[in-house]
Amino acid sequence: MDFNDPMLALSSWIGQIGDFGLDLVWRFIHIVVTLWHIVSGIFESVESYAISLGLIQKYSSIDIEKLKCLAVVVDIEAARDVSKVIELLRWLTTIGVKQVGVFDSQGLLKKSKDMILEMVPRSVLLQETGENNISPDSIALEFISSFDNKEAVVKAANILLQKYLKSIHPENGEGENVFTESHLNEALRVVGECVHVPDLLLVYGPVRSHLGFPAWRLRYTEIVHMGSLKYMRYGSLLKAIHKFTGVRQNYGKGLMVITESRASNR
Amino acid sequence: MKISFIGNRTKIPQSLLSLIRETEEATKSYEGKHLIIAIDYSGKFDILQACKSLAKKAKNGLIQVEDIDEGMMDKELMTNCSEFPNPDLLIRTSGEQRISNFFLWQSAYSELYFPNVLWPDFGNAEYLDAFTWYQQRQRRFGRRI
Repeated sequence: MDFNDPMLALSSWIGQIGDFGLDLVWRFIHIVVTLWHIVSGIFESVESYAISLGLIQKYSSIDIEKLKCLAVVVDIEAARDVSKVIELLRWLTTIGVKQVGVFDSQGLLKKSKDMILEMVPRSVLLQETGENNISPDSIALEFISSFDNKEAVVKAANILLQKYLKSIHPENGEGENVFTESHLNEALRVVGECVHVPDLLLVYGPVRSHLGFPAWRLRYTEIVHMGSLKYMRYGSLLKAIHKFTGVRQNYGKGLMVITESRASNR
Repeated sequence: MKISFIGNRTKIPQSLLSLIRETEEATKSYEGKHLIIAIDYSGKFDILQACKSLAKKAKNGLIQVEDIDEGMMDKELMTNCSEFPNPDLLIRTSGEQRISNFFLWQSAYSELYFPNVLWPDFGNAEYLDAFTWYQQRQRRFGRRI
């Protein structure tokens, strides 16, 4: 018994040293990763400044036609500073973006939409003009909140459900055919929701999440985290849009590679 | 480890379907870890099949139309096989920055991580990087601080 006590104490001591050592290693890894993020953050700031000044040639021209619809997700805290949102929308107008959806989960920007429309030059409400009637020199804005996400899908689902229950007639043979993507799109329009799929989604805030942006619209949307809205940079915005215009989308289809071989005739 | 499969099973060959059923049956009582494999899975299809499932329940009088809400939709999604259907962290490899129709409903507040490495090359070091990155995130789930 006496022999076991020192052994138990020793193994406990070794266990504690091991735990301490692992803790140190984990913290060291955190420090290295944090330093890496700081250095890359500084580099991005310098690059963004250079882009804003037009010093980097490749960002001086952007094929904006490829970006038909852009969406901006703003963190709820950032959404309280409407002036920054207005500044961002002015930048987007300058770049030539025609259609922008602005989202915050609580709908704060929806409540400020009149002021935003007034302060952003040549801006119109997408709901009023429709996507086909946007004049070349204006920007159509859409204000979205979490209400337009799951709640809207549930309401649209209820519409399909009503159709399904009414169509249970053996002679018609209808029923489950009402549950298709196009039917749900139609039902979403009926409940007042837009089904435009944004090509690019810019997320401003500390979290790298789309924060409840309408799920039905996000299928093939490029998602880019832009950092804090308070410290947003014009150069970073240009870079994100430029990068998008270079992206190749397969939209869920497989790639077919055709190779051609030539036999040599000698 | 418990293994579950989600997706549109109508298009899966019978031989693979048998293997899937056998695997699910063999591992259904395992606890601790749960691996969910999505085969022919589409986020939009998941939402639509949840709507269909609710419709059938309403038709059979199991639920009232007025009672259908987000919670009910959550329970009808394919991820209802999981104790945690909404991922905290969603990793999309290859450097592409989109979720490509995956977990559209479930990923509302998931942290999105887009490493610039292809899936076959995503190893221990990349996992470590992802988890370290995730540990620094401040999650709010759409709420104000």
